[in-house]
Amino acid sequence: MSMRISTSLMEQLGINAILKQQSKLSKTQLQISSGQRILTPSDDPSSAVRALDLTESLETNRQFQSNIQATRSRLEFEESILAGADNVLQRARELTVQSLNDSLGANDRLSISQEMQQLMDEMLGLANTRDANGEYIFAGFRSDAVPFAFDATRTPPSYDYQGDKNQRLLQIGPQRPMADGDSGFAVFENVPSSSGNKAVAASGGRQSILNTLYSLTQALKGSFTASNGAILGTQDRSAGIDYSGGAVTFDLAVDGGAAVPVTIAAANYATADDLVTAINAGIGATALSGTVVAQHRSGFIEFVSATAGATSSVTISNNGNNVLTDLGFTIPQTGTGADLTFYDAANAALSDIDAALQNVLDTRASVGARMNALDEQEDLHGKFIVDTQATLSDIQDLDYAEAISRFNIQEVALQAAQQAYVKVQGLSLFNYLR
Amino acid sequence: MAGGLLGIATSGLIAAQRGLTTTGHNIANVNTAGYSRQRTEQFERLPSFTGAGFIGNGVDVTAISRSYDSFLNAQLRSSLSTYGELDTYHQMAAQVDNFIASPDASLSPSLQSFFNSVQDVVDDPTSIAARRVMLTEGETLAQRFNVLNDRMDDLRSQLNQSLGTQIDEINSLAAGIASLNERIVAAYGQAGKPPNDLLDQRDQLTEQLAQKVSTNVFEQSDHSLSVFIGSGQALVMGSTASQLSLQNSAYDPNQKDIAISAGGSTPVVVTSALGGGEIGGLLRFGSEVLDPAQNALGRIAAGLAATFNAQHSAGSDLNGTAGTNFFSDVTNPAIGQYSWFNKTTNTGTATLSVAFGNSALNGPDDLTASDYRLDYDGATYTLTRLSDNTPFTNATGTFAVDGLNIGIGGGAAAAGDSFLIRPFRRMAGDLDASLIDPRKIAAAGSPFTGPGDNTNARALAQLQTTPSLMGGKATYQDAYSEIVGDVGTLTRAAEVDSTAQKQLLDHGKEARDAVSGVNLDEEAANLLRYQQAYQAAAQLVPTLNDMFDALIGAMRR
Repeated sequence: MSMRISTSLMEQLGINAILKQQSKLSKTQLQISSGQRILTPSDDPSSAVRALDLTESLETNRQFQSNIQATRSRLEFEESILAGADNVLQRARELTVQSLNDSLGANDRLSISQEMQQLMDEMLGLANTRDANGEYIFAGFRSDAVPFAFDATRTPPSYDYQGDKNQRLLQIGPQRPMADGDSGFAVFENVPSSSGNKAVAASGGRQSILNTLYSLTQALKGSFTASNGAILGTQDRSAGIDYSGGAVTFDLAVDGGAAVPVTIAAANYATADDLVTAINAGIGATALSGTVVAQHRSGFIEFVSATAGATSSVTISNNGNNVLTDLGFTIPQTGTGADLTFYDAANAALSDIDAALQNVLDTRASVGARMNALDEQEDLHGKFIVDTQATLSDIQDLDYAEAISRFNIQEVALQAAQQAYVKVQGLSLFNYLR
Repeated sequence: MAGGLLGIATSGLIAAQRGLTTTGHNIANVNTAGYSRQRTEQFERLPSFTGAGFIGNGVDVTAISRSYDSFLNAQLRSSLSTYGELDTYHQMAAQVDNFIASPDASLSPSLQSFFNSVQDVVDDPTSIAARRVMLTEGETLAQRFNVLNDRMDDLRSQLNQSLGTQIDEINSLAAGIASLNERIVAAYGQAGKPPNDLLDQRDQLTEQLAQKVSTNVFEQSDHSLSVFIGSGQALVMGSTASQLSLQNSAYDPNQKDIAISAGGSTPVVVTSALGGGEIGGLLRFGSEVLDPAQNALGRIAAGLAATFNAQHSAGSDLNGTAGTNFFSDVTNPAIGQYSWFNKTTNTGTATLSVAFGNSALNGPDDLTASDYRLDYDGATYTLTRLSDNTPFTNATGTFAVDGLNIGIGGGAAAAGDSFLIRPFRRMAGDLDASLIDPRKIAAAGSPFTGPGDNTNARALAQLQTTPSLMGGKATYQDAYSEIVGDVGTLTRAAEVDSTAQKQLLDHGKEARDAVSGVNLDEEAANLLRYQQAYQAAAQLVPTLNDMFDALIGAMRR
């Protein structure tokens, strides 16, 4: 015996069939209108999660691309400044060579000094370049301070670097930081001076190019005849030194005099400035008071005699408390001043200008290498972004051909369900009871 | 035997009339929910004995019976309960599923935009504009957490409201069944015959009850129905119905418990004993989808705030002063002041202090997303992690476990006191970006060297890809993806299950209706059948008349 079907259930089943087809059709319609295969995570939980993760790496890589743009534009800017510095130094070199010509007299050199002064100013302008944000590009992290400023209180008066030695790193890849510039210390201040620059202090083996150009200009004007006795430490004490454990002592002798013990009071010195102040206080308490000063150049401690000329000298000795090792002096170490002829000064300057040119060239090579690395990294990200987009599209984008044919099938199914419903509704025995 | 024939004719007319009435009743109720098709039960009358043997006396309608199969009905009730549970669960879960990964509500885009803005500060640490964007993006991120949390809170109040509505309906259904029980018992007593329509009504009410909560029924000898819900809670006994009510849980007033009270007695909490039906679906949605998702979201908020704040505080701002908290300070107990609940029976005065740890030993990577219970027996405090019932004990009530710092904030606990701690439930709602001055963003390292320093900003940006959550295995995005995956999987399973159960339910209805349902074609045929029977029985009367006339005529002659 066949199963009885109740009339209301039959009707309900017919309507259910229509509703079911409608909801399928509506979902396909949503998929087609949004272009998305996954409308909510429950449609395909694992793919939905995968799509979230891929979108994150996609967006992160896009951010790296924008970091690369920022880095590149800064390196390009730096490169143009360095090209300018190169031109200035080339011209300064020509002028120096020209001034060394024996046939030139003091007046000729004075006229050369006019142009040298211009070059000096131009070099200062380049070293103190600011970017669009008003940041000094050669000041390290201290980008709000003028990196190179003339300091008349120094012995002898000279240019002092106000920035620090840091390079700002930008993230150009997941594990790839890249410097967006170079510090003024590396480019202009820390110039090897193999000859020792007798113009300022034949002590450290390195010399700011600005001071080189400054003293050269002075020499061309004929107003520079002697250098001070000076010695420069090799340890960077920008971050100070902790002597809170007890006072420390070292021996200092000036201009050939007797060695005098100088004491640095016990304290934790946080900066090079603090340390220099303490050393000068120590000197002030001895017979050496007024004959020698301590100062620092970008954190490196320097002792300079107050007098200049062949008789001036600074000698440091006795390392009982290791203080001299801390500051980076050899023991004993003597720096002697000199009476200078113009030719001495100009010859020394010539070798320093060559060293500065080499330094600028090295920096430009490094900038170029970084720009190449940026291009490579950008290509890498570009490929990754394209690949990821393809994967993401596979995961979440709709296959339109499949979806539209599915839509058509579902449309037919809905029409069939509707027609079947109407037909079945018309079938009733009551129609014949008339 | 003229009286006999007239009697037979009358009985036939009456039987056909009853048949027509019943058919009409069936037709009239073709669309009545729960209606069971009725039939007249016809029997031959006792015959009279004559010399020629037994001679028939016509027909009697002995009963109007309904076509009913109690087994099929029980099966249907069970299918209704299961489907009600799965369908409700699916509908609620689908609401979370809809917003958890949608571009305008999901956490992912805000998280990405925020860290992109941090990268822009790395690129340009002195730019006030870039810093301002980072502040705005930080605020947007916090708001996105807030909005997600609001949506989940909304769902919880919707859940509580639905529970209240369901309970009202269950109470009214129970009262209906009890009242029908009374009338059915009386009707049986009066007539000794089944009051079909009352029985249908009662079955209909139990079906509706089964949709709301799993229901078992037993018919007593007096034909009253005893109704039990859940795992055997008596709802209707004879003509008395128990009352369900919603009350605040012993700890958290936002968490509702269902209590049952028979005849005005003290309500007893039966939440855990209830299952099946829409109530079961709601309760399961709360405990399997909503609570875990909201806790997991709160864990990301707490972890993000703790790790980001720590790194931000390690740097220096544009003025060279040490960095402060970027987001709300989650290590301060003020954050957890609403995260713990006194048990209503507590007698002590203790208040708790709940905050997040940020040390290497007890930090964001240890967070579990579980709730906790703190019990005091007079000597020892026991902290129980409720996800796996792991106990931790301590004499002073000071715990540094699972990345949390829990302690007694003030007062003193009495023996037997108990506290519920939900560190994560409202965390996503409480997250706030506390920094307002763009110069206060600590992009530079410490000690401060200069405004161009971006080392700390770089460290902040790297937090995006640092797996700082879930035992150092998951980034913020990973942790969010896990919520999306969990909700998606549960919703998908609920959808598949409820579709399958819908099939079973349809089969159950079909099987029940095969017995009890009205088929109009069948009724049309019955109509013809009884109409013809009536016409034929009516023909007996003129025949009898003719016989009588013939007899009288013969006498006159």
